[in-house]
Amino acid sequence: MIDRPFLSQFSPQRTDPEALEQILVQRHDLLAESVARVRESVLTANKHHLLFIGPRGAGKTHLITLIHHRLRKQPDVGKAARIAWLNEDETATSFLKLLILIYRDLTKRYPAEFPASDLQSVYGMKPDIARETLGASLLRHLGPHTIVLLVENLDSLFKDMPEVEQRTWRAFVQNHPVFATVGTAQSLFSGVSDRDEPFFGFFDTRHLDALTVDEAVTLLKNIARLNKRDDLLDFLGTPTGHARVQAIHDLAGGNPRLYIIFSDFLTRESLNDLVRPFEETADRQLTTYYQERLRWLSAQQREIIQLLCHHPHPIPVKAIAEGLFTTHSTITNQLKLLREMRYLRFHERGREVLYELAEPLMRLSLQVKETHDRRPLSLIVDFLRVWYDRRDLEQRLGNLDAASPIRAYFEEALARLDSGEPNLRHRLLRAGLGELDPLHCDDSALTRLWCLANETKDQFDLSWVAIALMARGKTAEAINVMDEILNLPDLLGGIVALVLPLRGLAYARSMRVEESITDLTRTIDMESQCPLNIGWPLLFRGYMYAEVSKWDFALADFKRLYSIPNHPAAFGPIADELPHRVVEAIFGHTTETPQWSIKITGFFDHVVRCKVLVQVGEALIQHLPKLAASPLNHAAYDTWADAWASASETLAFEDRQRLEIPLRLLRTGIAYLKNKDEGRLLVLPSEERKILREALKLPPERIS
Amino acid sequence: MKSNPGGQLAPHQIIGRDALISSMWSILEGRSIYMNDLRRIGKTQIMVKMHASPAPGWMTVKCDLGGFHTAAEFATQTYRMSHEVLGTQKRSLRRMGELLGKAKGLEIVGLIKLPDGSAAPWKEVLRRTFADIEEEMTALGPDRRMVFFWDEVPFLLDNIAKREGPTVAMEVLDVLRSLGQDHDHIRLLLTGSIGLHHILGELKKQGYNNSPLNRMKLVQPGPLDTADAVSLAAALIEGDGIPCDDRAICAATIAEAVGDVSFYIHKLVSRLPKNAPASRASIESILHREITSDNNDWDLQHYRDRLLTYYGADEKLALLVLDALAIAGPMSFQAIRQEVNAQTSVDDEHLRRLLGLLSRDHYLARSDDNQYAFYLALIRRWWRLNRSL
Repeated sequence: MIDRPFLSQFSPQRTDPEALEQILVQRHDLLAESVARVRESVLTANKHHLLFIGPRGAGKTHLITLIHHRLRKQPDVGKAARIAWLNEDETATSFLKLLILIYRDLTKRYPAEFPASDLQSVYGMKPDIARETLGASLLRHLGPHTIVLLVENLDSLFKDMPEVEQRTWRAFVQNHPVFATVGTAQSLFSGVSDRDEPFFGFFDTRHLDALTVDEAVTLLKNIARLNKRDDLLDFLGTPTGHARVQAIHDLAGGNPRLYIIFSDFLTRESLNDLVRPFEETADRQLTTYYQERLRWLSAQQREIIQLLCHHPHPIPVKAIAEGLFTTHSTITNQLKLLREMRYLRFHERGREVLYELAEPLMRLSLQVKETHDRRPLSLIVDFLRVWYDRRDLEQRLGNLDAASPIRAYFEEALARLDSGEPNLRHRLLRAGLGELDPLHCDDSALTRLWCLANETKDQFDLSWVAIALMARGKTAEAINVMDEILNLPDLLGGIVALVLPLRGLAYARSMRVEESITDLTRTIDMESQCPLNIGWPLLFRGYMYAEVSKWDFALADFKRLYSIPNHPAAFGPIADELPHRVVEAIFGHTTETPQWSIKITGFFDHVVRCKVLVQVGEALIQHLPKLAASPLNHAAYDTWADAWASASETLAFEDRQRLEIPLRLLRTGIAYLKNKDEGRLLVLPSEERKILREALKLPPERIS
Repeated sequence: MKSNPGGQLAPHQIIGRDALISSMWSILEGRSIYMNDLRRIGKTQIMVKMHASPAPGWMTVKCDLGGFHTAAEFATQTYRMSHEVLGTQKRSLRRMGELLGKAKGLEIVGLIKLPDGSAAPWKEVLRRTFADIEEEMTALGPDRRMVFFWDEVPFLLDNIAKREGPTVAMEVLDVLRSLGQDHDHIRLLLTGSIGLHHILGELKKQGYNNSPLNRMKLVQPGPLDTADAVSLAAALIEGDGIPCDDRAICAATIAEAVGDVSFYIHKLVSRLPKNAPASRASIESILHREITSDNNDWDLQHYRDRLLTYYGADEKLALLVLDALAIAGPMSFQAIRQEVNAQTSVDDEHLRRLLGLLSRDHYLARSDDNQYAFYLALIRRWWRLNRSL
């Protein structure tokens, strides 16, 4: 017995609406809003006309089914509405024929209210009379109710209905405001978007966005839950599961219907369970589906699709025009239409625009017809190349029986891998990362980065993982990845220049000082071989030297850092932080007054140029507790203050003034430190006392 | 009140227009009105509101004529609707009763038939119907009048020209002209999605030389008053549950951004997200995305595309004028002339004529202080984006 709900892949209206509710993704707000608008139409004199736009398989029928379902669950709406849901494959070439479709559906749903005999009676009349008769009959039987007209493929209906008939339709709706319309269309069409057309601006149009990979994963998880498929649910949480969804995403172009079709394949590990059913799916469903999609297009649009089916990568407009023996201007409009209908996607390269199929699976419709003698379908070969990595492919081929008909697929997939062309799986996985910022990625994005890097072992992919791990504070893992990168053969100089200082920073974070200094030194030494920003490596190496009390080395790095133009040492948080390290390093460097003075004077040039003299003064005051904690005697305290005072004499008047208050606070602070007498602080005005008390970590002054 | 771009609004939810409607009732005291303006400016909404709340003494008949394809259908419908409206006052149409004889009142659908079964001549139906209405209105009292709100008149004429030929369409136009001016107690308020001058232009090519609208008052409703536009935006923000940093600022921003046009206010509010507070910046950004998207249905490109059709060899000159006004904002004739002459040489009268045509076609509006500017702020905004100005 089958106990899982039936999910129709092509006719969602045949699926239990509660199941559709459970698998809905991305469109919860749109659905709620649309239902509210139809509800308002039914219960008030405001009538809304909604139009949802999206290519085939985008979920339009799913949405309309749920609107219908939710409306029916509202008793007040049920009483006031009369729903007519037109068959999506039926069309009407006149308003009379549209009225017939509406009336017929109402008769089916509400036979007691809309007698079939009224419809029968108009057959044989002149069309104008029939239209008027049936219109009057409809309005009479409708009474105070509102018709909720659900009509799919509205674009097709408009295409088939001449403009004068559209005027008649619109006039009927305007003269009798008893309709609320919920329509769908594959693309925006001139009947509603062209200012000269009767229905221009009549519909509230909403475009249905394609699913993102994350939304696709949610959809598949919803399906797994619905079907009680815990194995699929678990699998979707793994990097491999995510990679396979990514693969489908790139072949399917974010089309929800295709995810539903492919959801069954995700966990199949046995080749016989994968390739044969895929072939069957291709044969029974996908080919028909895509052929149907192509049938909607004009002859020239189909030719464009056919041409692009034979190109696995984007091609420029000029090449498309030449391929079809036509002009650039002729083709441009058609390309725009195909783009709007989401058959194609485009890429800009400078002033040039390149086009490719939005759904590579569309090639299937041609390949099935073009591939003879049971040769492998190229698209399934591609699918396998994306589904499995090389090791998997080799292993699975090795396990196959020599006579197996599916060997050809794996041999072809491996041959393509060996042909030197870019690895399709890796290319798609990389494309799936889009413009992901490794400095700001969430768990899901990190998983995808890992997944890609683990497979490719590519130095760039691994570097992104390392950056992302560092950004997320996973230092130990980052060090492991960077060890792996730096052991790769044929490492590019740019990657070394990126990874080496990053590992140096990671070591610094882990207080692996010597290793950090080694990596940072190697980085800094690379400057002579290639242009490199050594600011950050100098900063961190200076910190590391200070950490192990190698004050001279630290000072040398800090001084060199200040000499780099436009480095953050001159502004931002580093400009505030670095002077503290500099003061600390000068202090730690020696206890000899002349030495202190020389070091201080040597720094003044740089800090004056970088305009951080104020921050140095601040650092000097904040350093007082460290002075107190040092083993120096009180005389040395004064020596320290004298050194700063004498060095400041070398400054220009304005700069000297900037250090005046800090030096006064330093002297007063030292006076306090000598005997811990807070009365010493009273030589300062209250604002300065407050600063000094904070620096000395004294409680706020008591006011009596 | 939820945003409802393009949909049908209940009369009490049509915000604003009160001063205009009041002045239109005053105009109707003296003569009929032809209302002409851009599509989606709200002409039908004005009719709906006037029909729902007529001024004292007025009886109203409202009909979208776009569904009629022959003069006879139009005449029949006019009779039927008049009959219904007068029926509410227990009045009847005497002359039409005589014409129809025993068939009177039995005809439910189709064309009006004479007692001998032949179709009643449409001109006669209209003439008798109007004469009867005039008589009944006079009988009801000195201040009683009836007004026909006829929407989509250009579609009606085009339909008739296509089905019955341009000659019949011309005859209908002439009948409309005489009906609109020959009765003291009957007025017409005509409008349509497309300008009647487009149809007249076509008919003139077929030999039509009359001016059916010259006795009518031309009314161009234009956008809403700014205060009404802001009230509408605020009401829709509330109705749609749009979170805002500051509702008053958001409402004012929306109204200003779309030039106070009701339809565009509905449209822009309907596009605002509900999961993040709207602000001046986010509203500007959403509008920018909307009107520049490949897949937008605002059809502002129409204003660029139709220049060649409308102005032929003057297309380039029109572009110069529009570009200059898009960049600089309102300009006097002298300033426009100076700007245009910097790039090309143009005769003053030629330029004046072009400015007149651009104003007639709703590109420009001329203010009381004689400054030309884009008719709608939204078109100027789009023009600058589209032309990278």
